[in-house]
Amino acid sequence: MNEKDIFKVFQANEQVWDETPNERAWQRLEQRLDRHRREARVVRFRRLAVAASLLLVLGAVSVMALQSQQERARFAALEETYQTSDLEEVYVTDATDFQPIQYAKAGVIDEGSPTRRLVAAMNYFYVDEVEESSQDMMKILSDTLHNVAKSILPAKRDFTWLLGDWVGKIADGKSIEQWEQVSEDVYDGTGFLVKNADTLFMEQMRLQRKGESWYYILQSDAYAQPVAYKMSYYSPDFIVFENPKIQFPNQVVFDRRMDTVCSTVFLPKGKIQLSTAQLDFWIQRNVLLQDKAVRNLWKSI
Amino acid sequence: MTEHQIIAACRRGDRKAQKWIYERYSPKMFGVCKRYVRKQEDAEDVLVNAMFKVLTKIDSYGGKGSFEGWIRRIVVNEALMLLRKRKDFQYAASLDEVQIADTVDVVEELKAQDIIKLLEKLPVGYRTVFNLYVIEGFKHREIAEQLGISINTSKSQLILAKKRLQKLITEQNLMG
Repeated sequence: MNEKDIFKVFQANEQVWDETPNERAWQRLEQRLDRHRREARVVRFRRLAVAASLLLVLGAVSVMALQSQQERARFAALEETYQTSDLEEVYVTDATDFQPIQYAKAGVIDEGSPTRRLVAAMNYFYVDEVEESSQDMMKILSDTLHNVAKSILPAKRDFTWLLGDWVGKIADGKSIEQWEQVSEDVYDGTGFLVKNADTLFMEQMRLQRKGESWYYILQSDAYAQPVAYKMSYYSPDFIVFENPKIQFPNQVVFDRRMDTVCSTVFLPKGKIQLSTAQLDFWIQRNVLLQDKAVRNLWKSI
Repeated sequence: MTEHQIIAACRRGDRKAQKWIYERYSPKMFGVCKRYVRKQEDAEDVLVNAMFKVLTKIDSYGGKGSFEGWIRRIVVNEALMLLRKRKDFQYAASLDEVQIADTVDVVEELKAQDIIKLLEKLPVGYRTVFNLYVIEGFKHREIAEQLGISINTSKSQLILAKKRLQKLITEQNLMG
């Protein structure tokens, strides 16, 4: 047999080695495949968490930027129509979710008691309720967001522009706001409705820093408790505060894009739904439109 | 379902598809393993390792060329890795020392078991090069690269393998 034949013999008979392997071979293989599947899941999960947190960071930044753009657009339109539009009818319910107020309309306000009541009440803060999740991913994401927020919204904010007296025109009266700085982290504001030298109405606002965040706190008879709104967006002439638990206002916006005017805008989540009493409150110093309440104040020298 | 569809399912980690591919190719691939590593347990190890790689890295099979050929390459590599680990390789002398033997007439028909036994009797160096050249169809240059030897060594190993086989067949005939 020459060399070519030997080669041919082996080549032609390759199948003699064919043999179905022992069943245990498949079992071993299956165990390894199971382990591989488990490990792949963990890697994928971790990668997803990192990717998701990065996306969220990018998303948060771009959403904030986009939101501010959208808000500006909306408010720009509002700004143009404000001077000429009439008061539109607002959808009102008889909902008794909010406690009815003992609302004192007439008479001169005793300066003493509201202040005292204010000090006690202003300790209420809106608290974030982050769902406790056993997954690490949520922690990673919230930590990342928190850090991003911290970098985007440094705690020190300048609200000195707010200080002093502001005036707004109401039908046969004046809306007045006075802001003073109580401490480095606290600004107090008081709003009056004045008609014919009578102070008919008063509300109190506060800007307060707590930890890394600034809060806008609303105190009035229309709501049983003071309500705190957490700053969610800041730029020197456009500031947004939010409280997702409140239907109206869901957001409070300081819009200062026009010089000398500070426009405070109150936005609902969905349609504005107010009890009669609340409606009374909001129309005192604000213009109530279909989808927002606005008050424009000019710095009074 | 076509094999193409089953491969697609395998990419998704479908266990049924994986088992189907294993069952279809493992007898032949087990044969490949046995040719290289001889011991049954070793052959099984190589098979399991190789099929694991096949099933988990199936994404790297682009669809070009035969699927069986792709599997076979993985199996052969796995076999070679085991042999390398065992440090079984001992290569005989270079080409110069090879002496031309007389050709011998042998019985034309060799039984299947004989063929298997013959290959098993070859030392690992001869056997590996013989497998790669004769059955897998690699060129000497490729074999040299794969095994980390010179082309001359690969050629001499093949010639020596042939001579040894011839001798074994002759002995068998004389005895049988």
